[in-house]
Amino acid sequence: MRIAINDLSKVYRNGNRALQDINIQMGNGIFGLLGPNGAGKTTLMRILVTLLKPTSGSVTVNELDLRKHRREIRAMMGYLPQDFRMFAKLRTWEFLDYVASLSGLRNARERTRAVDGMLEQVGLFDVRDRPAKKLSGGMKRRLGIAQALIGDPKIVVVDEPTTGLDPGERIRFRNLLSEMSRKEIIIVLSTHIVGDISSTCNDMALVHEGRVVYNGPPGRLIDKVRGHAWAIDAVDGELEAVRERFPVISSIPSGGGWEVQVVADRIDPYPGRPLEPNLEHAYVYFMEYGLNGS
Amino acid sequence: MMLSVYNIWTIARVETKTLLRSWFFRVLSLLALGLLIVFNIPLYTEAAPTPWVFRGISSAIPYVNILFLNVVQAIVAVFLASDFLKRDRKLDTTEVIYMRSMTNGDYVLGKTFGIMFVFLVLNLVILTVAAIFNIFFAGVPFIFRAYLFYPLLVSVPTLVFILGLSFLMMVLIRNQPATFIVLLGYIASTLFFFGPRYNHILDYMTFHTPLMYSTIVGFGDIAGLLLHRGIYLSLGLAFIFFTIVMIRRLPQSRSITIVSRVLAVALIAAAAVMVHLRVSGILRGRELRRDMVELAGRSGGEPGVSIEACALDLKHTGAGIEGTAGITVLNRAGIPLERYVFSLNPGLRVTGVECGGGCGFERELHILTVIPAQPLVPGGRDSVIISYRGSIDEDACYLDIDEESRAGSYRAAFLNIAKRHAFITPGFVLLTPENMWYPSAGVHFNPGNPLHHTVDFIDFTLNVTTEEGLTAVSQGRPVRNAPGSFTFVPERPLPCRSLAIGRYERRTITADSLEYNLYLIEGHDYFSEYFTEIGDTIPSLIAERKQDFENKLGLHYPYPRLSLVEAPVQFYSYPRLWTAARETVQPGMVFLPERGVMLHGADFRMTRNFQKRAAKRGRGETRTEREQQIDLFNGFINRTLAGNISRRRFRPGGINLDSSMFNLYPNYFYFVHHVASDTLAVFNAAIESFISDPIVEPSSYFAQMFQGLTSEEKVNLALAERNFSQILSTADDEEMFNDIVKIKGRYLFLLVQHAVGEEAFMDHLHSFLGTNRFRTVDTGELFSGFRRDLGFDVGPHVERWFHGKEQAGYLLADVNACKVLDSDRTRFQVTFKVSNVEPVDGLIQVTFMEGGRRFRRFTGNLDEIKRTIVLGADQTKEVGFVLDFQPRTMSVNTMISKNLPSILNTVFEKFELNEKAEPFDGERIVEVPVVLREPNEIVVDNEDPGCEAQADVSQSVLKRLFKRTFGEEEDKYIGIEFWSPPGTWKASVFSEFHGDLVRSALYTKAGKGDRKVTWNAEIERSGYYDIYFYVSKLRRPGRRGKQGKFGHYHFIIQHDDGVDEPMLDIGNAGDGWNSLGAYYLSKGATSVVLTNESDGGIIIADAVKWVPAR
Repeated sequence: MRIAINDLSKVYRNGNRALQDINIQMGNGIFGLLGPNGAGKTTLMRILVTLLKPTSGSVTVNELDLRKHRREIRAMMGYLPQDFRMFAKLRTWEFLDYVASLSGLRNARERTRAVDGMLEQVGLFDVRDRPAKKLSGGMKRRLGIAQALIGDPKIVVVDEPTTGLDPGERIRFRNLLSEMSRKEIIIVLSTHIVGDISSTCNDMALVHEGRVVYNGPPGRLIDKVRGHAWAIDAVDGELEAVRERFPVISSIPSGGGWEVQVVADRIDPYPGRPLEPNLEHAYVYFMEYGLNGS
Repeated sequence: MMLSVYNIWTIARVETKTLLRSWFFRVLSLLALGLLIVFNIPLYTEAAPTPWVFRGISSAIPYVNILFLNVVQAIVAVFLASDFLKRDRKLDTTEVIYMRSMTNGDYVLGKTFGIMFVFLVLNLVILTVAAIFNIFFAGVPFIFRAYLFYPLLVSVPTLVFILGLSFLMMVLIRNQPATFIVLLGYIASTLFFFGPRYNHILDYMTFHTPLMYSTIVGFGDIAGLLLHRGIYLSLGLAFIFFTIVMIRRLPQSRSITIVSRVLAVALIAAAAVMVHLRVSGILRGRELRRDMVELAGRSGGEPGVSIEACALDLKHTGAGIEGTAGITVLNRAGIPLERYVFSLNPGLRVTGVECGGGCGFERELHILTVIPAQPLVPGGRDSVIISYRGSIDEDACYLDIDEESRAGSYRAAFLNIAKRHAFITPGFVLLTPENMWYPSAGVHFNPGNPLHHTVDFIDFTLNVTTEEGLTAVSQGRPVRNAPGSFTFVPERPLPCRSLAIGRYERRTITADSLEYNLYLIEGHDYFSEYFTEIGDTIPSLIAERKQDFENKLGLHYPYPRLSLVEAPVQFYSYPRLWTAARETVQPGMVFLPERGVMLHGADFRMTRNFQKRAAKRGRGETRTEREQQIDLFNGFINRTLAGNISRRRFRPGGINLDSSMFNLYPNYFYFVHHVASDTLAVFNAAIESFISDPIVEPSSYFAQMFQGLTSEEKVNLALAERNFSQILSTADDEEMFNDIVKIKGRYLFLLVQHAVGEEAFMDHLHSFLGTNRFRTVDTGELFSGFRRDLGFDVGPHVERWFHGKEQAGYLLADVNACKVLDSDRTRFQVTFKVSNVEPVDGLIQVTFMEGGRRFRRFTGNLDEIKRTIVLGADQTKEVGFVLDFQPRTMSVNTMISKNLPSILNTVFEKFELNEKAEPFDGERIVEVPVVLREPNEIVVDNEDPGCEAQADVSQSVLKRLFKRTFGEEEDKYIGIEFWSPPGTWKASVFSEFHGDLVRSALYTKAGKGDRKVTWNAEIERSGYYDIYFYVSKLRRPGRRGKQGKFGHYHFIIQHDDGVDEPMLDIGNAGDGWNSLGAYYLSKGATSVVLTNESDGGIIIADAVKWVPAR
């Protein structure tokens, strides 16, 4: 599977420029979209799942133009929107069955098997007869994931899938995605939780104010900030000043003072030491200083 | 790639599921179901009385159920339909569906089918309930096809339309509450305002559209109905396709979008074509009538031939007829005639005309002009053979009826019925003279002289050929030549002919050498089971009823047979200006609506239940089964055929048919006699009305109370403005017209009658009519008969009668009722004094009626005494009656006068023996006129300038708007509405109110004292005065609680020592003047105020009197 996004722009009717000249290539595996709220991730995803029309540029899925081949592209997609609530009057399995029908599982017996299997997989089999709207928040989320994955989609677009999940569920979900990503499919995962990306994605894009500021494997992004991640040892009175001067990733109390992790090109006059950067450092660095550094 | 059935089915299935689970839908449909069951119980079981039409025509059962369900579902559908398109951005569940692979067509159609399916299930449930009532309780046949037609014609188009409209509005407006308001407003406006108008074209719910399904002919206007439903079905589908195009989801299939757009536009175009067809059909009718009237106006007026004999061969050819009429024409005009003018329905094409001496012919619309080779000399005869074929154009009927009346609805309760005037179908034919189905002489209706209606009494033979198995019914002796071939041999000269062909079975009874036929459509005998005991008695019962009727009329039935013929419920006739006869009654024949629906006496099951209940309550004597059946039979005959003609407008069940529609009276006058006049065309109608007087029910005491001004009173008000001839020349209101003819006619004849004696006059009139049966006579002949045999020259009176404008006015006083000793008998005496206070002669008619109207229905008529009294200008008479029975009421009909009310009723409670009283039966002129106000008294009536009612502006805007919109202009005088008294002071007239020529009072709803009436007077001499208030306690039967309570009235009296606020207990007060106390009043202005503060229901403000205390 291949998704090619070329020069994609989206300007809303109110003049709000949500996306600008986006160019991304996606291959099989999990593709992470990272960026702060309002960066344009959701707009990009809604364009990908054909809910929204781009203003210019093109998207092709396996050489199929998204504008012209909605039927084929929709047929290979699964989508979990950011704020997913349930159909009011359907049971858990009925809802999943409905989506499964629309996703092309026409054979009743196969569909039932797929629905039951999916319910097992997301741990909702025991509540399959419960009205969907009476599920707990986490269960609703899982049902959302289930409906996005049912019918063996070739492209799965998930928007902030792990918000509202407890840590156990989050890990389970990441594993589920990882497992799926071993097949010939593309999973587009949008999040502002860096951990989601670093633990699952092999490719990613960093989106900021409607533009892609980085596109590539997470490791390369991390490489770019090597030498810019520091741990400052600050005494009590200094913490505020450090916070004002540097983007702080974490501050941990240590023996009468603080160990403050920051990203910066230099940290003098404060005492500190360079750190081995992770994706979080990279994310904060790029948000703060841009791709070309400070 | 087009639609996916699988996707549509999936979406529909889920939609259905969610709808069925929605509480809104569940509650509303359960409510609808529950209401309809509750509604069906009284209708179709014996639990309560309901109009017979609901059971009489079986299809009314599904009709009424679907009709109500349809209103409910139209509203519910709006709510449900707009739900799925809710544009709530947060609700991303819609998005996970929207991004699936399906076309917008799949989605919208799936949703539509889902909702439709749910509603169709609801329809099915309701219809099943209706069917259960139909089969197990209603006791009437089950017609399966009606259970298919109504949901298909009513529910489906309505739902498709409202769903489509809701979808589209939701897509366009994109705001659910706003969409609701717009759509509910639309529904309400079509239901209440637009629905009944514009030939129901905007009535998408068919709440007002005629949908009654006859067992004989089916729907009345199936073509119009299909167009009407087609319009809404197409529009609904168009809206749905537009929704597919415009829904805010990125389309998936270009072809679906294009096809939907094309289909939507095509369907809109189709709807437009259907609207055009429907409207142009209606307009075409209007134009045709306008052209026909215009043509008749050009061709009418000149003298024409009379038809002496006619031999008509008629062939019924499925949907059409073919006729050949061999006509003998006669020139009675006195001048040579160069052309013979006939009328024939424009739907019938003339294929040939032959004359004895050769002729040509011209045809334009309904007028056929035959031009003989030689003019027809006076007194000469010619034979004309006219061949024609085609069918009846019903738009050409009733040229005299205005378009507004034509557009008016014909309904039984809320069931709407198509108005039909003729039927020609393969299985059924009904033709009446108004259809012009055979050539008749003249222009049929002449707008230049609308009352002038030529009548030829024709020797009329009819041969009918129709399909085997059908029976033809017409006037004359029927001879069945072969299956499907009939001849009707004339037994009397006929003014007109009518024809019915159908699957009739005939029941015949002979009584007093008269043949009575009942022509029933096969399977329509619902009544025999109620008359099992009296089979052998029926001939004598019929003879008795006939005798009773003829005794009252003083005339005899002229034909050797009478046939009652079943006609489809849609058969409708309008009242005419020149006669009381309607097309429902024909010479020797009455067309009754199928299974007697629309007739109140025809629901025998209900009447039997009444009888049983009355027997249980012990009312009346115990009656045997046989006697009860006799009562049932007599009741039906009296109410429908040979009873009194009631002028009541209010009828239970909301059936808008006159009870006089089937009365046999036209068979005694209109079809037998004709008094023609060139200048007084109205005279025939006046005689007809006068002769029918004995069978016209006087308006009842209570009717007078409730209805405001009676038609007679409105006539009097009109006559004060314009004279009779002026009113006739501008007659547009049929009701008013009939009343004026009746009142004026009666006045003239009573005048003659009074001068020569009632018996002499009636004998003369009856013998005159007897010798002139089946013959047109001139008014001159009638008047010269009066002069010759009665010595009365009616000429000068006729002149004043026709052109005069003055009206008399009467004051009535000193009504005295007592028992008197007359020889050795105790009898009942009533005396009174009456003055005519106007400078013109006049006459009044006094009627005494025995009490106990309640039992009249079963036991026949009560005693009644009538007498006419003539009062010269400014003349006063004392009048006495000595009666053998105790009268309950005396009514003085002031005829043509300035009096309001025009009939003064007096109710007698008790007659006490007055041994000193001399019996006085007669009238004598006295010198002292009636004086209602003593010289030293000051009386201020509500009609006087001294009385002021506080003008009130509080009438709700909505009510005013409603009244204005519906053209409900308020008369000056309204009826007394106990159930919803007005919130302002309104005037009403009533015999018991105080007044001189106008006995009126103001009344209003009791309240908190915010509305006042003030009586102002000028005191000339200071001193003590007794102040009186005039009380009229209007008794309303059977009312309790606040509405029925008289309560206390609150007065405010200004006097020299201050202000007093006396309360008058009306319940304990007597009728008439009641004292409010004595007060010292100084010279100058004074007043009495009555407020509306009361613990009773209504306040009546009439008159106040100041009397100097001795």
